[in-house]
Amino acid sequence: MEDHDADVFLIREALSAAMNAHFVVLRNGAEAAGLLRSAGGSPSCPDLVILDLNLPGLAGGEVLRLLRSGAVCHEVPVIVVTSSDLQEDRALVLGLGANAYFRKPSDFDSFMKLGAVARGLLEKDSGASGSRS
Amino acid sequence: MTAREQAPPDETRRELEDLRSRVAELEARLQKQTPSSIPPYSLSQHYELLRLSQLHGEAAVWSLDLRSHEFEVTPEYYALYGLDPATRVSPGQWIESLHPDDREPAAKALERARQTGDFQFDFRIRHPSKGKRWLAGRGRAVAEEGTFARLVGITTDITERRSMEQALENQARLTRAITDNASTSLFIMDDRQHCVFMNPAAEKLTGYTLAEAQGRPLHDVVHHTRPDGSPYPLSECPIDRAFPENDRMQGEEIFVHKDGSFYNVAYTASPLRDAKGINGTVIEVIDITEQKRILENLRRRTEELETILNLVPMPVWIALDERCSQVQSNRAAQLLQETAGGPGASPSSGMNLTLLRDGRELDPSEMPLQLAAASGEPQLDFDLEALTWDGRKVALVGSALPLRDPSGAVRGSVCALMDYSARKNIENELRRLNRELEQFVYTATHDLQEPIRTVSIFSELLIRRHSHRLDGQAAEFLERVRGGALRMEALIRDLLEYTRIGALRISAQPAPASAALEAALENLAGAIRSANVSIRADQLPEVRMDPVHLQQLFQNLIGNAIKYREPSRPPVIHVSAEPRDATWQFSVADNGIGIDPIHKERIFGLFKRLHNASEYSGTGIGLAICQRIVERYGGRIWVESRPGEGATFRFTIPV
Repeated sequence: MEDHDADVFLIREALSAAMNAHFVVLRNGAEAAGLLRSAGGSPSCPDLVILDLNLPGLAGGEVLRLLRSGAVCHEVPVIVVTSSDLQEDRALVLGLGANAYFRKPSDFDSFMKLGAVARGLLEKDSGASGSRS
Repeated sequence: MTAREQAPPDETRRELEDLRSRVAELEARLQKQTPSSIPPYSLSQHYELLRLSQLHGEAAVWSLDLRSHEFEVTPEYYALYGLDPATRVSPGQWIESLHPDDREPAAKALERARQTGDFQFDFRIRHPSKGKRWLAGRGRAVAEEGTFARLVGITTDITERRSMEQALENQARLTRAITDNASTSLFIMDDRQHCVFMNPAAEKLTGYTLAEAQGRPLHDVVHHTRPDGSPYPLSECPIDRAFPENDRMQGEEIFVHKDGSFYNVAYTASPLRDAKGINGTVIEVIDITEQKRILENLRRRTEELETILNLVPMPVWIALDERCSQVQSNRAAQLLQETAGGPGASPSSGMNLTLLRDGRELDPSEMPLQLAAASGEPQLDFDLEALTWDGRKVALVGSALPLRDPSGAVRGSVCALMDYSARKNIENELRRLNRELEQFVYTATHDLQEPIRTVSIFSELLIRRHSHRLDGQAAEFLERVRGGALRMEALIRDLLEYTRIGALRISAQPAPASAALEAALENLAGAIRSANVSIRADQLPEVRMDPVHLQQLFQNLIGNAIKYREPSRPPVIHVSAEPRDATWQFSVADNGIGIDPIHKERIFGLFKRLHNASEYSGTGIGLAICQRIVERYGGRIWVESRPGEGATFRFTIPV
């Protein structure tokens, strides 16, 4: 969930380099929340959520709270991406149940490390639950 | 009139006058017998007369033949001298009987009588039973055959009179000593209000000598004109009424000095009585000009202070006793009490307020006035709130001090408050605005990061993936875009850091400065190695400072020292600390290129750089951050340097 095309591009680059993945891009908080609610009946939860903290409409933190308190998909791994390096923000999202916090860097190679973070999370997740799509 | 002239008791005086008149009578008779005008006369006749004239008195009558020295005396003579009636008297025997000091004068007196015909001599004898006596001899020579042949006289005992005179003289001397030495000016007026006496103090006070004033109406001398220049008639003078009204008068008047100046006096005029009644006035006068001046100054000062007290907007209360039962207050205090008391509140004299400390209502004994009076200790800079009738709280700051009497005992207290609700509101508003501004700067800066990051990353991607499609100049331009974006990023990052210092809470835990220095050196390890810097660090203290902040300080200062090293010599950096005036003063000294002192203020400004980016890279925020950190902890930072001689940055952190 990311509203900046540039960052969507970079996230895609990073994840594509690390794994084969299918992407659904949601561009604002309400859309993201709506999708997660509609997924209530469907069994197709995403394997990983990349959540920008600074979404228009509904803040990323709020989306994360809804996701974690929902009936379904509440266990999906979430990586919060943000340009903030405030300790408070980091503590806040980790407290709300984010699995990782990734500060958007300003050089390409560093950004590509998001892929490694994502793969690490998925491997840990699959190891724990045994399911993988 | 003075005591000196006072008459002896009446009885004695009458006796003396009696005696005097008898002697005068005798003298008158003898006068007729002067050698030139009077023929020889019967001595025995005259002798008899003398004898009779003093029958009832104690006077002795005697006759001395100036030629034969034959000496005849009446029986009283023996009694007077305490002689045996069988004693053979003679001029020589007489002289022998005198006090040794009187013998020579006695001989001279006799000799004088022989020349002039007149004998007058007072002398001392030792009476066998009565002791020392004063006798007075008076005589006249009687002429026979043209010469003084015989001296006839009387001798009386004047011991009593002399001792009385002596007593009077002593009394007069004593009185004189008193009036001479009195600091009070004394005047005596006679029954016509004329000056008859002034003591030295009065002479000094008025400028006139007694001789100048004597015999003139005293009023005309010292009291003739009013300060406005108009004449002061005697009839209106209260001092001069003491005599006619036979009453003591007291009051204050203004006298005129001989030099024309006026002076304030306090006087007491009392009628002067003697045996016959009132015969004058004695006036005691004290110069109160200085006293008046002091009182007037005091009155003015008091008036000024009272005016100021009522003018100042600070409420002030003054307790006039130790238990603060009597309290005075100024206008501002009454206003505050009325405001707090609400409509219908009557101004009260006491400290009539409901005061709160930290929300809790103060007991009467905890009120500042009472506290200062009871403890005798100053109560300084306390914060209180006054609770108003409608539940509002008025923020007050104030102090109370005990008042002491000259012995040091507490006699009351003073309390002054300041209503700073308005200031507190402004302070709060200012703090809120400041927070908002900081938040705004932070958010704005933060939001700037997004687009610049995009520019920097995508220009990088363009260079990495598509450089083969760009010609030389396009690739160069792109590098510039990327360089600009990176620099802007660094600026924004530092700016964020700068704004965040204001928002961070300060930790008061002491932490070792050496740990912060080590962490800073570790972060700078690459630069230290590549520039081959030698770092010398003294023993560093513990300071009450967030280690991250101290590390940031060291990192910026040492980083600068490395950056601005002198290429021609190996860089040496010395870090030290010393206690100074309740602070730790840290120093980071280098041997680099130094700083011209004219720049020593501006280098701490935001975005202030002395060199362009091609010489030395940097955002111009590092020292501003250092200054912000140090000031946040209540310290200060400065640089001591000269170009080419290295620079020493110093900062203080309160102990």
